[in-house]
Amino acid sequence: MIAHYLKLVWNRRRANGLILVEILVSFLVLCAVFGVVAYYAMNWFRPLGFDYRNVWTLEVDIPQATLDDREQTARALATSQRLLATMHDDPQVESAAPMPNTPYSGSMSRRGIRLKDGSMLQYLSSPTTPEGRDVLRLELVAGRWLEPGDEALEFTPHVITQDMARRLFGRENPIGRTIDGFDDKGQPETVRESWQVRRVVGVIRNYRKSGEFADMRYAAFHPQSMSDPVRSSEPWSYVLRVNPGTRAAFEERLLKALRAEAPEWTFGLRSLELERQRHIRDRLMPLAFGGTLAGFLILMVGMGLVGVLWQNVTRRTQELGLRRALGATASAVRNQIIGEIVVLTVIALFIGTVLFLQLPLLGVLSFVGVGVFVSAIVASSLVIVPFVIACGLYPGWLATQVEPAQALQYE
Amino acid sequence: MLTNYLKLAYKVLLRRKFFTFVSLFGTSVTLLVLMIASAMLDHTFAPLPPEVRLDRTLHVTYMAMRGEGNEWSGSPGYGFLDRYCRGIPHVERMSVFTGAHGASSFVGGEKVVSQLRHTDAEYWSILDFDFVAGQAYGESEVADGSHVAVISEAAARNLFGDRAAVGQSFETRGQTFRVIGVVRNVPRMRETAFADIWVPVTTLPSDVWKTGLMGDFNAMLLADSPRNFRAIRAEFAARLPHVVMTEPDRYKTMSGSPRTRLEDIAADAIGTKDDMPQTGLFIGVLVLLALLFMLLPAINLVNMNISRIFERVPEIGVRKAFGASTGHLVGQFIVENIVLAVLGGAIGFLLSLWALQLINGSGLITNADFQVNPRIFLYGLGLSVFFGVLSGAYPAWRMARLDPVEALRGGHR
Amino acid sequence: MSTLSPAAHTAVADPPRPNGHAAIRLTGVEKIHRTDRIETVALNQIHLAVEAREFLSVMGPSGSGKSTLLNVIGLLDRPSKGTVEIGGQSVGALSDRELAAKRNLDIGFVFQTFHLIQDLNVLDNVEIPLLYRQLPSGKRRVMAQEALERVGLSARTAHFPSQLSGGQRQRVAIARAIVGRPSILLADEPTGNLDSQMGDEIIAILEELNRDGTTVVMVTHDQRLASRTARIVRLFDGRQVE
Repeated sequence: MIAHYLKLVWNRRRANGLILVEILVSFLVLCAVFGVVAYYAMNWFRPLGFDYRNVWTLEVDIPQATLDDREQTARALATSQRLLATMHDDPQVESAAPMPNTPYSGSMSRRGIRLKDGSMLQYLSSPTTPEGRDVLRLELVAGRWLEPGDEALEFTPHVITQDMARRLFGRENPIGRTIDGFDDKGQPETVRESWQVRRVVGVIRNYRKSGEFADMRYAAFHPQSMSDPVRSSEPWSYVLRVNPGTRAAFEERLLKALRAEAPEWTFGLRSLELERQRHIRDRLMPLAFGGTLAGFLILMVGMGLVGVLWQNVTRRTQELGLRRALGATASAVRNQIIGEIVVLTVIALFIGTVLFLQLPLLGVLSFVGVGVFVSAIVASSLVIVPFVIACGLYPGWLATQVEPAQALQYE
Repeated sequence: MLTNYLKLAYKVLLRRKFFTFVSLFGTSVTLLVLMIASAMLDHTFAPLPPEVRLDRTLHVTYMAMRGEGNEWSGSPGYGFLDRYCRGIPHVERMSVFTGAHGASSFVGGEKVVSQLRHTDAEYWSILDFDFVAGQAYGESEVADGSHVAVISEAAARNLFGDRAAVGQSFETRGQTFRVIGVVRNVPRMRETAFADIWVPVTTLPSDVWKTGLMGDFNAMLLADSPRNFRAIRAEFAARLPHVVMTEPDRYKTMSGSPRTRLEDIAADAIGTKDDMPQTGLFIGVLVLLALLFMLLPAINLVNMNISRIFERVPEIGVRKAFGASTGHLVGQFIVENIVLAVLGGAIGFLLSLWALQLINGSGLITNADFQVNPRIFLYGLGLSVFFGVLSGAYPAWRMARLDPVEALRGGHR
Repeated sequence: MSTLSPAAHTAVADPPRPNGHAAIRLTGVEKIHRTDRIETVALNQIHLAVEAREFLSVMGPSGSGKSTLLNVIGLLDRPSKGTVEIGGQSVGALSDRELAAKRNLDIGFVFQTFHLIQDLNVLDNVEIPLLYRQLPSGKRRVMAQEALERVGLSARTAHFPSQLSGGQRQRVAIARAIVGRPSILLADEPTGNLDSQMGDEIIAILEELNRDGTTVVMVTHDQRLASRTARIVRLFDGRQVE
């Protein structure tokens, strides 16, 4: 029977061409929308790697002329140390640590190294103190976290994410290994000071600083020295964990205390929970808008489809009457109308899938996994096919109302 | 004759309510989205107050320092802008200012967050703000580092309630400012003008920001004419190799260029190539998206028209048998299409008025003041009428040429 | 036998039935069309028995109810009154689904305007009844080929109706009607759209089918054709007359 529908549809392809194109374009539109949804959804369910509740970020604006002035850096570090102490003094603050790559913020401090195979690895490079783990509740899965005294070792201990460990070392144990970069000729980069060697001491599950919707995988934490201007520069941001239920009075109080320590510096205190909400809203709004738009368009296509099918049925009353005379039941005739449009839809879906899959095949949007494209295709198909069937229900019913005796009476 | 067509069109459209509804729905929704999109585009790129001179303004918003595998990219510093960007030929005026950042004030125990921007005096001469009270600060206040502020109506309400704001003082970021002017709220989409509080750049809590190559500053270069943009950019590029790098071990070169608003947005949206915004690509992508979006309603319309025509084949046969010519029939059909397009356009217009009001009121985009652009509306309407006519003419002509006998028989496939 | 109104019409006597059930039996069949204001009587007290392997013509002026009669026999129309039996089975109580099945198995139709589906080729047209019998595609094709051979069109299986002459199209229609080997063939003015030569060909095919065992009921206005059949039933204003 399906072969019969296929023959009918195929032989009428000129008339059906436009409808096919309409369904095809609708399918692609849906694929785009569902693609974004799938991308966000897949990322959402990956572990965030940190706990944002009751965490605040403190951004510090340090006016300075140059960055290379060791003296200035030393002074800034000393001030920073006093700032940390001030933070700890506040009764509402449980723990605090310097942290350059604060969650949900746009700024990123990254380092890139070229691996032996020539590919580039870009990772978040975050100097922090041992307390950093407590503030963000990072999950340690192997080795150890940073410890006091780490900032003075003859190498730089690094705690990296699982994905980074896998990328660098495959299945081998990363603990104790060093992170080595290569130049574009495949030669290992030379390291100027011995303490600059990056050695892995621990692995955390993840640190997705850009939030639940982004696919960030590579991050490394290493020690922040609050006294050595050679090894570290002064922190420009901190993260603080506060007692639950802390209110606005805390902000005013803390900001006053910080400004007392460093009158020339500017401070900005933000609640991570609020930042997260704003971030989520910013990401979801365009998606909602796009989705609504797509919905309207598909609705319009659906209505058009009903009209076209309706008109199709009225034009084919004789054929339908004939089929009843030859033994088709009313349901068979209804199923034919619906079946024909479903066959047409499947053809459109097939073409659309081939087109859509060109995107990953051509390497466009390479940061998106193939799973996203496949999910988009599946989701769109699961929406379009029932939708088309629904559009065919009324015309299908109309087809069953054809009286064979009258339809075949052709004056 | 035309009234005949119209009367008939009215009857026909009423008779087939479903088709009429679908066509109207499609046209009005398409126009609605077109209106909203173009209103937003308009408000992003057009010179609207306070950015009245946007079409002859270039912005320096993004620079990059590179060297030895290190990169620092972002907004330039005051040091770079002040030392290397002044005195470019064809630049009438230049202003240097910071970005707008959240600054908290505590009023009666409650936290009030306002967007705070530090600017020089020239800022007020390039942008045209609508002062409802007081005035802006000038050269002397900036030179003195006076702690004066211009605030928006919204900030005035948040900080002072119903009292007159001019003359009052408020505290933010640990500093006290005295209000000397109040302006009407600025929509968020006016990138350089938007803020709640404006204060002199010299009130930044230390002097050291003056020397940085990178920092939190932008510059507006008001050109005497857009034709001289190229010369300005060339001069800018010529000066870059002469920049004295402050950390020559780490960063060796500086790159970047003054941009128009369009280039800024293109760079934000799809990134840059060699630090240059890919404006052409950006526009190309937008046009492609617009075309794709309009494809569906267009095909739908053509489909509808073909269906409608087929449906009326017997009617055509009868009419021809009674003497109607091909021209008559095609004309009739086209009039119907035009009526549909105009009606759909009218509905779309009303819908977009309502929708834009909704967006303005929702606060999703701060201080949004989207209006329906009459020019774009007329384009959209014209487009839909044109397309309605086009999509109907060919099938109508084919069918109208039918032999009446055949048409009476039900038409050939 | 039933009653007719006294006036100008007399009852028709049925020929004696030799054995078994009649292929078709109509008893007291009436068909009345009702609209809001008008009642039209299409068939009035029809009693008809058609034996298996008969070749019956139905004649009458237009409006006499010939087509309605054929529709009732063909189970396309339910009578307002009376009973219909096909192959000894009363069809009054059958559901729509059962009627469709019976049509599919036992009855074949041939129409004046052929009613072929333009967008399908000859073979696909002929196998349509078999689709509704849910036969596998291989079997369908074989049966369709056989039917086309019987009407002499086995060379044209891939052609489309628009590529055939009127006579050829009607032959395709006949092939379609017999592909499922029904016991009854109903033909509504089968030669009405054909010239006399093609018409003769068609009649010849029908006669051959009848000889091979199919009961044929043919509606026609052509006296010449009707006189080739064994029996003629005449209708006037919905009644049988003679």
